[in-house]
Amino acid sequence: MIMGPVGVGKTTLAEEIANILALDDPPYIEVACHSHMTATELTGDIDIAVALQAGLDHPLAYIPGPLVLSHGRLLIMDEINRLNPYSQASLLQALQEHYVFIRGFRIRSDFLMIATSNPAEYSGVYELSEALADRMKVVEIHYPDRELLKAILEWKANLTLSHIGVKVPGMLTDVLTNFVTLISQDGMIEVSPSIRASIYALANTMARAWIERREPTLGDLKREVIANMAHVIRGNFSSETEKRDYLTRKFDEAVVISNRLNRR
Amino acid sequence: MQNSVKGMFGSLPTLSSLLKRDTVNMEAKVVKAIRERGVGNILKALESSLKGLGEATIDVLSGLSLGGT
Repeated sequence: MIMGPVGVGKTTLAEEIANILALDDPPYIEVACHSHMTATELTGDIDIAVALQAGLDHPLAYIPGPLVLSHGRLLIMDEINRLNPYSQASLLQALQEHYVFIRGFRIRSDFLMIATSNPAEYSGVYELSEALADRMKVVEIHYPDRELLKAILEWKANLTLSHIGVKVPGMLTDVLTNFVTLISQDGMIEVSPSIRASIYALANTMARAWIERREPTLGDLKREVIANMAHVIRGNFSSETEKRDYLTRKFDEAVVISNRLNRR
Repeated sequence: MQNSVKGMFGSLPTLSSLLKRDTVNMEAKVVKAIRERGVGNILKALESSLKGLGEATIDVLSGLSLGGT
């Protein structure tokens, strides 16, 4: 199970590994887990009406679910911590017994699973059952350090903007890197800005300036950052205004740090 | 339209075919894939879309090669 904060590349890592290993065609089956997912959504079920009319062996009498379709492949369970206990139980049975049970029929299914998960402090998540958690090796992904974060932001934002033909100025990446680092190191913040949100903020700043046919400014980045990240970060704030004030303060601090570093 | 619907039916497995499935040794399949591609090449391929996740990749690959989830 790949565990880490939002937007650090957990799902992409799982998909890329599955694509590179290419165990079958398609190489993986992916399930976007959610709290209302039923066990039959994972196993598939027999359509009684089709079975009665056309027979049990009609291709539409049983539509297999991802647990059955994953036979011989990798199964990616994205955000497994959103899966409710009932669905967790059906997944556990398939993992333990290598069989999926459909109304008395027993279908063999051998697969390996890569799950992704947010840490428990994120809201709207279920705790994994002990038995399921016990079967998984946990691989933690942390926020990258400052230098790596800067390289990722620069690389991904420029990649996003490649069709427009503009490049992100180093100063903007610098300030954003300092801003994200400052917030992720702040003890009062429970959920920091994601790398994905940071890339979007940077790319949006550039796109906006490009549309208006001018150079991007720190003011543009500040506006994008506050608009995007006020919805992403979580912490001990009594109101939205307080959160926005906090982000504004941190952005200004990040600018001061960047200026200081650049003067050296 | 009728042809494409028929084609879609053809790609769906029937219950009887699913009940006759053979066992697949997934761990062996993963080990074979890792051997064929080489860990260095896998990491290099990943670097083109993700940076700084080499350690996590090795952790995931080692888990998969043991059949761990």
